[in-house]
Amino acid sequence: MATCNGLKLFIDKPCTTRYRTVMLSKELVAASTVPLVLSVLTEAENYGYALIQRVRELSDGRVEWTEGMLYPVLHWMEKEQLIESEWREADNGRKRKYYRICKKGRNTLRQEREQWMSIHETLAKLWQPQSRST
Amino acid sequence: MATAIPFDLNAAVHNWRERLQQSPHFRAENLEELEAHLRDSVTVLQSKGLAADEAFLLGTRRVGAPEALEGQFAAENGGDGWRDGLRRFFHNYKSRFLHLLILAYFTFGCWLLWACLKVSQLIVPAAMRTHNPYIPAFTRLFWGLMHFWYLPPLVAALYCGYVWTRKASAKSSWFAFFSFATAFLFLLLLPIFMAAELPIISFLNGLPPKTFQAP
Repeated sequence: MATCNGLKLFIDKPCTTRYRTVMLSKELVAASTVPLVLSVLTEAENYGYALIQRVRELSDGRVEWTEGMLYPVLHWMEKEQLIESEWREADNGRKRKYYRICKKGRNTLRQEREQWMSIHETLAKLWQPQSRST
Repeated sequence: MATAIPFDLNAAVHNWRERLQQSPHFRAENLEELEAHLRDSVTVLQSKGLAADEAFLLGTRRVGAPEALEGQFAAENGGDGWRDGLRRFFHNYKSRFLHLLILAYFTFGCWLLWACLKVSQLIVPAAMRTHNPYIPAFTRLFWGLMHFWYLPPLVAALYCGYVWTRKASAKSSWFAFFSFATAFLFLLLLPIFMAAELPIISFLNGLPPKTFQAP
């Protein structure tokens, strides 16, 4: 059992490692799925598995999706015309469904970005050490 | 010494997909996409040094439990609508419904054959039906069998009853049932037509030689 800032952690891991790999709550992950997908698709068109890998890599493994659950979200986004898809054969001969962002998706992403940034800024201000001391 | 059975990845993926396919909430395209995902996942895990069976196990776990996936895809594919209800009903009872349809088709086919014989019987006056030289024994045999003509549909109905109540997996048996029913009807078609026509042919053969001669 390890302790971190007075908290007892029931894992056999160094405190710093535990802090770095803390997982995000399900609710937060669910809320961030659409902006995350849209953001990854602005980099390049991609297929489901690669999308998940990219998000995992960018979040250092903190955003963990149940992989199969992403597809209903992708299909919903497609229905909403945020993204579009196309079945294509990959280099290894395997068929994959590639997704790419649409114009409506870019507009939605812009709005999402503004909203997430305003939340981020608000929280950042609240959590600044100076503001806490004053 | 017992030898280990080699793990067949394709068969395992196929079985996994089959299991998902049992649910009416997955469309063919959904399954295609999930399978592509699983195969990608397994390939990557194998490249990291995992054995095929380990990679498959981890890959399926990462994709998600079938029940959880089913819930998500049900919501996506309109899980609450009457169309989905109808689709689910048809998916669950498709085999039974098909068996019922084939039973109706078989019964109707048997009835048609019986009607052929009955018509041939009605054409010949009752008094002439026994010991008449124009009525061949072949026809009389089939007329005699008419009393048992309800037996084939009855056997088919019993088989359907067995399928509906007891058989665990009746997924593809409807095709065998259909093939058997059709083969049975076609095999009986020719002898019954012959039996129905023979009295007419015999009657015509028994007419005086000059009956149909040109004047």
